[in-house]
Amino acid sequence: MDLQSFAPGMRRCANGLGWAILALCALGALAAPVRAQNNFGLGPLSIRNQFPVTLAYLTYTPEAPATLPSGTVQLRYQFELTNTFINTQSPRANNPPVIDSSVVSGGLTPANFPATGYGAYIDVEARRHVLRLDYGLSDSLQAGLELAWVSFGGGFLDTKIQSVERFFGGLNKDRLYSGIDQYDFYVVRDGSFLRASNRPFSNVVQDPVLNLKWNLGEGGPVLPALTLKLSYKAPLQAHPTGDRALVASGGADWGYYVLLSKAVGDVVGHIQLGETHLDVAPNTFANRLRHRMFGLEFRLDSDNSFLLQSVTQSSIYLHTDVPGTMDFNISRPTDVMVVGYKHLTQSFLFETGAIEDYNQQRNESDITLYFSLGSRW
Amino acid sequence: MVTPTNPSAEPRGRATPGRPAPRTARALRAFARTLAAALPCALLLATLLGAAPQPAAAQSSTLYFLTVKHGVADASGSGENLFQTLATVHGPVQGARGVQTGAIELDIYSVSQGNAGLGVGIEVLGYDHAWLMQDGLKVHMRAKGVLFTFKTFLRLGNVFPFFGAGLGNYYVNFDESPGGPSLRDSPDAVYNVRVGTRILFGRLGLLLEAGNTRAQLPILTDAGRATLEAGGNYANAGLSWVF
Repeated sequence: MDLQSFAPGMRRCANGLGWAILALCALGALAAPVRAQNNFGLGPLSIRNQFPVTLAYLTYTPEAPATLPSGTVQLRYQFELTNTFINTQSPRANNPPVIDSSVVSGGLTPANFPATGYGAYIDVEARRHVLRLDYGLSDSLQAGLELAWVSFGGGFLDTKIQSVERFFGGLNKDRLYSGIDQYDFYVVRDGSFLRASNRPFSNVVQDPVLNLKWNLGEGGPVLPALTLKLSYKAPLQAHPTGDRALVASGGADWGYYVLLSKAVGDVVGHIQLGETHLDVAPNTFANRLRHRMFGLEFRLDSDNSFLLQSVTQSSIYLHTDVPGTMDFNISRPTDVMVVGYKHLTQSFLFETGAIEDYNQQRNESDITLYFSLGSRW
Repeated sequence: MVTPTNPSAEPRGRATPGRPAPRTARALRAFARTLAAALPCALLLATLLGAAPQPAAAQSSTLYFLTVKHGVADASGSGENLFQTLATVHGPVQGARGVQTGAIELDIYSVSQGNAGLGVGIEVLGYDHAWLMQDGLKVHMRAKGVLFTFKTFLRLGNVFPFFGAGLGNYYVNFDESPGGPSLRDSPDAVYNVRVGTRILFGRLGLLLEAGNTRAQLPILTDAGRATLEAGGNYANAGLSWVF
C-alpha cells in the first residue's frame, strides 16, 4: 500500500477529528456540574529578578492573583541573597581583551573591555531586605507599597556554589579565573562605564514601588481567575549618585501584568504575562522588559503548597544584530526556575525558595535564596 | 545553562544530488504520516473502549500522567523562511525537513467533574538535527523546549481525548559549517496547541497527539536575514505511568 497517497486525506481527517474533539471537550467542560472552586491557590513564589544590573529598575514580581479582603492589612518582610558571577572577558570567552584575577586586582578601566558593545565583569553577592505593606481597598482591589534596602559585597557563597556546580557537572569555569568572595561590579558600553564599583556597601535604600492589583474574576470550573496588576517605581532622587546609583535608577518606571490561575484537582496552574517600561538614559539599556511566568502549585493542603515555576525575562541589554558577538548573546531572554514552599493562613504568611538560572548567556544571576514572613490583620 | 553546540554531529537524511530521497528522510515522513493516520483510528478505538470499566487509577479525583514521548516535527510554518533564504546561496536543502523529537511530560488531570475536566501539563522536549544544503553547507540546529499547556478533555471510560493550548520557552543552538554564523537564542514568544487522546491500561497509558508549536526566531545567516521556526507541526506517541 502506498501510504503517501493516503496521507492528505488522513491529515484532513485528523484535522477534522481534532476540531471535533475540541468542540466536544469544550461542550463537555461547560456542561460539567458547577462546584465551588478555589482557582487562586496560594499564588506563585513572589520574588523579582535579582540580576545586579536590573536591580536599579522596576521589574516584574510574580504575585498571587488573589487580593486581600476589604480592610485587611498585610505586612511582609523578605530577605533575598543572590550570587552573580559574569565575566564577558573571561580567558575562555575568546573575546579579547582578557580579564582574570590579576587584571582585576590591578583595578579595571574601560580599556579592559571591548571598545564597542557591552562588556561586563560582575562578581557580586547581593543582600536585599524588602518591606511590603498591602491593603485591601475592596474585596477585589488591593494597593501596596514596597521599599527595599540593598547591600553589595563579596559574600560567602562562591566556594559553596562551585562545589554544588561541580557535583552536578555544571561548573561555571569562568569562576576559576577570579578571586573567591570578591566584590567587583563593572558594566561597559562602547568604551564607557555604565556601572563601576569595587567598594562594598550596605543597606542602601531603593526607590519605592507602588502596586495596584485588581481581581477581575475568580473564575469557575472552566475559566481561570484573572487579575490585573500595575506597578510604578517612584524615584526618590532624579539623579542618584555614589552607591545609591547602583541600586536606584532615579527613573519613573512602570509596568502592567496579567495574572491567571486555574485549579486542576490538587494542582493550580499559574500563567502571568507582562511588560515593564524603564526610564533609562538613551543608549544604555533596553527601555522595555517583557516577562512571562508559568508554574505549577502542588497543594499539600489548604494552607501549604509546594511550587515550581519558570520565569522568563527579556534582556536588559540592548539588542545589536551582530551574530557571534557577545552583544548578541547577552541580549537574549533569560529563564530561571524557582522552587519553593508557601504557607498561608488567615493571619500568617511564610514563604521560602531558591532561584536557579537554566538559560542565560552572561545576563542573569547564578542563584538566589530567599525567605519571607508576613502577618495579616 | 545551555550547553555549547556540537558541530561535529553528523547530518541525518543526507542525500546525494540526482539520487532518490534518502531512506532516513523517507522513513521520517512515513512515520509522521503513520502517526497522523493512527490518530483518528485511535480516537475511534477510544470511543469504542469508552464503555469499558475504568482502571483503579481513574477513580481518583486527580490523575498524574508521567509520559515519555517520541515523535516528529516539521520545524517549519507560516513566516518561516530559513531554508528558502539559505537556498539562494547554497542551493536547496537535501533530504527531509522534519526532525525527530523526544520529550518527557507531566500531565495533571482533574477528573472530578463527571465526563469532562481540565488538565495542566509541563513538558520538556528536544531535538538535535543537521541538514545538508546542496553545496555541502551543514546547518545544525539543536533545540530544547519547555511547554506549559492547559488542556480540556473528555472522559470516556478509560479514554481521555483532549485539546490543549499553552505557551513555553524554546532554546535554539544554530550553526552553519564550515565558516558560517553560530548562535544561541530564544524566541520572544512560544505558543502551542494540540489534540490527542490518552488511553489507560491500569497504571499504564498510551498517548497519541498532534499539534503545532509556534517558536519563531529572527536570525542573521550568511545568506541574509531569515526567520527560523524551532517548532512547527508535530505528532507524538508516548507511554505513560499513571498515578
